[in-house]
Amino acid sequence: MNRTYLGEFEEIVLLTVAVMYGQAYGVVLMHEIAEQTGRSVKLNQVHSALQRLEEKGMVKSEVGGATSERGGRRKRLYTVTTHGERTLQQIKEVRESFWAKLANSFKPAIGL
Amino acid sequence: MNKTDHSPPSSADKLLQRLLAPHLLETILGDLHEDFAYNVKRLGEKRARLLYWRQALGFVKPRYIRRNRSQYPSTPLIVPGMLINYFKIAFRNLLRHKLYGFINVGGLGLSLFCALLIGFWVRDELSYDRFHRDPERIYRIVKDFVTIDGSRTPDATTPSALGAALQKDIPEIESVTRIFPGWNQKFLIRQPDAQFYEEGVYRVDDSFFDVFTFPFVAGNKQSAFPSPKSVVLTETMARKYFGPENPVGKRLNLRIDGGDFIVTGVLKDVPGNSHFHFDFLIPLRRADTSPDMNPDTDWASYTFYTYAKLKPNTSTDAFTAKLRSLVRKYQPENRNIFYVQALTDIHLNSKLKWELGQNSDNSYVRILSFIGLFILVIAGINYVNLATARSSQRAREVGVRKAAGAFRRSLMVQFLGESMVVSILAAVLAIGALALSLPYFSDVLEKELTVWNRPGLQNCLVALAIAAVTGLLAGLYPALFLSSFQPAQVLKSQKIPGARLSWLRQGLVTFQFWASVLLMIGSIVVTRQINFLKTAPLGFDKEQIITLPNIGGLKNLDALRGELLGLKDVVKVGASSGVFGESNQANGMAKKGADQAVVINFMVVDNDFLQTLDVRVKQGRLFSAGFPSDSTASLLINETAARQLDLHQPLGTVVDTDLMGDYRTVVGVVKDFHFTSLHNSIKPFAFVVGSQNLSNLFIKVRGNDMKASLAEIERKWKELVPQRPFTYFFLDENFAALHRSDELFQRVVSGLTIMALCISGLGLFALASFTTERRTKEIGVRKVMGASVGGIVLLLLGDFLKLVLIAVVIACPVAWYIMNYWLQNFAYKIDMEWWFFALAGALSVMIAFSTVCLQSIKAALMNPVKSLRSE
Repeated sequence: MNRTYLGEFEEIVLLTVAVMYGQAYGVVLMHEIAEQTGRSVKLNQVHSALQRLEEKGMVKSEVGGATSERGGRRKRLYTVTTHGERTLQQIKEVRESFWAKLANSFKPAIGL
Repeated sequence: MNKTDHSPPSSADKLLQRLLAPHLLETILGDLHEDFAYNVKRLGEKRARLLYWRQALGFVKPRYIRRNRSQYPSTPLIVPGMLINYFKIAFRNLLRHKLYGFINVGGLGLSLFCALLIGFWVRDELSYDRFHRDPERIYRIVKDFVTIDGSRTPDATTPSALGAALQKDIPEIESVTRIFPGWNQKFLIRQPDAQFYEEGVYRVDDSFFDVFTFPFVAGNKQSAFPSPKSVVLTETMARKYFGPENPVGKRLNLRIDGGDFIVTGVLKDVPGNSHFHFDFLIPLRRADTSPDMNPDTDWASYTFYTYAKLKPNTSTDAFTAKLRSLVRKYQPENRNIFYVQALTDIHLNSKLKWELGQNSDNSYVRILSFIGLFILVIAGINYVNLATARSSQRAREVGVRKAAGAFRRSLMVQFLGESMVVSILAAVLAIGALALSLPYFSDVLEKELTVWNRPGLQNCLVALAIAAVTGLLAGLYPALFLSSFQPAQVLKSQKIPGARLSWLRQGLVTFQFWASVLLMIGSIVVTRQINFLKTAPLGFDKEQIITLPNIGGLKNLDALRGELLGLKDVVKVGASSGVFGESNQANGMAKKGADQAVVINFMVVDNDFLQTLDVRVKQGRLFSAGFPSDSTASLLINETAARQLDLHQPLGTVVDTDLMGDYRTVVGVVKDFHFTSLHNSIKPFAFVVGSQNLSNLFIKVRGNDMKASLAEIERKWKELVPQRPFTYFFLDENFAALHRSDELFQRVVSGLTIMALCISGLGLFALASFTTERRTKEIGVRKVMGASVGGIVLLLLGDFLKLVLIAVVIACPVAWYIMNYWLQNFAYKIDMEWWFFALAGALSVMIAFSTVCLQSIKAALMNPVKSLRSE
């Protein structure tokens, strides 16, 4: 496999960015991830994941608009690059091929 | 809802703004604020603020702090082209302000020179006896001489048996050696082409070289003393008696122990920083040791010095305990208290009776170190003061440089570098001057000092470091302050800060004068005290007395005396066993029947000695040929001795003069006289008559032609004692030698004080000329408004005189306290008089006045049109 290594948290962030279609920036990403996964996420973790993703070329960013609750500071909006999309795709395929090979998928734990 | 009610903690924002990389800051802060607004709605403001802090602190990580590499190349701090420019400007500045440059470089250089000199001296003092191997393990064993009534006299001598017993009984000892110095015995050494008296002949144990380290030039320590007739001599002596050839194996006649000694080794000369000095070493063991004179069992003769090298990790307390129990074992009756001194402590801290040589004093080291420090600080203050005061003149330069694109950092480098270049230049000058003048100072200070060895070079390096630090400190203020100027403001406005004396500069000038006044009072007191020591009446007459020190055992002494008395210039001739001003023999003595003994110094004299030296009688009579019993049964004592022996009616009292039954009757009491330096109070003293131990002849001469008298005496000596060389000294010079170290100290302190005064005067002069220059416009305006010349001079003077007066007031009590403490060293001392302080105060005011006055008057007389026209 010659794709770039992605950490688990990075993968989630990347997925979330993809889901949000160009409306993704630090604080909303944090809230979205917290909501979806139920884990507590700190803002600095999100930012460092974004930085790393950007260094790996999987997201790109541009400066967006400001709001008054931001104290007039502008957002940095992130979108997934083609490379990022392909990586996500690959991950998904790998996972699915494994799932398919799983002989009997897990039974619900309430069986007798 | 009012937005301003819910703002995130501003201190957290400030922290982040300070820390975070600029290119990340905006998004991060924005996100944080947005999150905060969300949290306020959800959880309330209190929790939100707390959360905000948590979130914010999460960003304090290298990842967010690291700055983004700029895509434009930054200007390096040091550019070769600019460096040349810096040097050019620094050089032009020095040339343009010659006075300033001179005072800066000269003052700092002068003070570094003084401090270096002191450093050399102090370092030499501290290095005494450290040239031996493992000096910290070598100790000298000494004792307190204790009489029956318990009075103690610290004394460096030990009995000869002690060394042998130590070696035998105490396992902690690695090696021990005894030294038997010549005790003023003079050895007449005759070689075919040379004949001299030598005093530096020490008898030592074979283990001498195991304890001490004296490198051999020829021979080695194993073969140093193969037989009792071996002699090891120093290089100088080898040259003196054998010329350039190798003396090993040759004969040297010391005229003791019956004849020739064989030279077995040549040592390098004893270093100046050894507390004892010798020229010849011969073994202690003799060929013909008679059983009753065996030094290994003799506990009675306290004429030896004992040095021991202990094994590593031996505690001195435990060793001292063992030493005392050892003495108790061999000598149960011995009351003396033995203890040890570390070898390296002897030179500065030991003040015992019968030291092997003159020791120095720790207080000299401390006082001189302080003076050195003061001088350095005074010059350092000059430097900082001038640099900061003058820095404002360069505000425009800063403006231009900044406008042309200089960064703050490069300006800081420029000012720091400039200041350090000047200070290091001063240091280099000081070191150069020292290297040239050190031979001269070595003579004055009686030390062998040189720059060209390891400690010397280290001292110079330290001086360079001190200069660099001074330069750095002095450069720090302009570097930080000037580089912060806004170019627009500096270039536009006429007002430049720094014209008035800032509180810092005022404080520094006050301190400078405080130190100078302190030194001045100190040197006045020292000078007065030393003068007092030199001129105080001693109670006997030491003027016009020629002493011939080598008449010991002379058979025709009476004939010589008679012939000398026949000379027309000779008034009186007397002989004695000792010389006033040198160490004297002492015995425990007691009134017959009393058990209370007193240690009394005594001298064996002939009948005429006391008249020759004009020792005055208080009660009874002096010795006289008319009383033949004087020579066996009479005693003269001084007043102190009479008091301490508890003699109410001294005349006729019988005294046991050696506690062993040598009874003598007191026939007279002489007035107290100072038989040693005025450091010590007068101690009990006694005279007995004898003809055996007379070793010095004192000749009182009259008339002014000392040379002719001497020639006459020498002629008689050559006639009557042709076998001995003629040697002599003047008693008053001998006595003055006692105060030589005091006198040297006084000269050094006065010299350094003058230096300190010059340096602080220079500094004040430059500072005054600078501030006056800065205030020419103010003076012009004042004159236009009708101020008188006198008023303006007073105004300018007042600023400085105020500081000097404060300094004087603070310095006086401190000086009084310190000098009082110093005077405690002396048994006889001057009183501190008010005029010492007044004189010092007046002198410093005068210096301040004369340095500031000239410039003030010049400024005040200037035509206001000139100073105001350029506006």
